Amino acid sequence: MRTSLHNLEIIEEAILNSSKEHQVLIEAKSILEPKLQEDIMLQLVTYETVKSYGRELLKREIAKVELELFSQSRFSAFRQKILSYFKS
Amino acid sequence: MLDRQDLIKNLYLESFPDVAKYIASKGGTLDEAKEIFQEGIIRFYEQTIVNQNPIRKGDKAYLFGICRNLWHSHFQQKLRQTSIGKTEPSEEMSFNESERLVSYLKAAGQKCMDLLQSFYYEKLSMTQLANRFGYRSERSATVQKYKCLEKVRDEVKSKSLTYEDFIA
Repeated sequence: MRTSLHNLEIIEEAILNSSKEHQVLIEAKSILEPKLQEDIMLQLVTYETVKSYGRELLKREIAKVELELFSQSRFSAFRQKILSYFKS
Repeated sequence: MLDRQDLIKNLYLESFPDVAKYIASKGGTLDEAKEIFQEGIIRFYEQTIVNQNPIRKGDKAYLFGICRNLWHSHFQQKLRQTSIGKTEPSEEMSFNESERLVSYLKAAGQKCMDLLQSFYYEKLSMTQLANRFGYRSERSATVQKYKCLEKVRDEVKSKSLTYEDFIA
C-alpha cells in the first residue's frame, strides 16, 4: 500500500479503533506536528460526509419499503389497519 | 442475518401500527405518522447499527419511544409555528446537503461512495465488503477502501469543508 494510503490507515486506527494508550500517543504527536492535526480533522470530516451519504441511501430504502407496503395488494390488511386509525 | 430491506419491512409491520395509532390519537395525520416513523427508523438504525449500541428493552419498545419523542418535538414545533403564524423553511438544509453529496458522488464515483458507506455506515465486515463488491480478498478490499477514502478526503479538502458543516 502506498504511503498516502498507509497514513490514512494510521489515522483511522487512531480515531476509530485504537486503545486509550494509542490515542494519547497520537494526540501528543499531533501537538508537535500541526500537519497531523489538520489531517486528523480532515479525515473526521470525510467520515461525516460518508455518513451523510449512507443516511441518504437509508432514507431512499425506507421510502421504497413504505411505498411497497402502501401499494401492494398483499399488504392490504396492514394498510387498512393503519388507515382505520385516521378515520374521524 | 436479515438484509437491511427486510429489517426495515419488519420494523414497519411490527411497530408502525402502534406508532400510527398513537399519533392518530394525538390528532396527527397519516403523513405526519409516516414522516415521524421514517425519521424514527433512521435514529433506531444509527443507534443500534452505526453506533453499535445494544438495546436493553427490545426493538419494538425502543423504536416506539424514539417515535413518541419525535412526535412531541414535532408537535411543539407545530404549536410554535401556529402561534407566530408562519412555517419554517425546513427543506433548504436538506437540499444543500444533497447538492453537496452529488458533488462527492461525481468526484469519487458512486462505487467508491457505496463501498465507503457499506463499511463506515452499514458496518459490514471486510469479508462482507469484499463479497459485495467482488474483491478477491479482504486485503484488496482494504486497499480499495483507502483509495476511495483518499478521493473523498481530497474533495473535502478542495471544498474547504469543516466538521461544523456537518454538525450544524
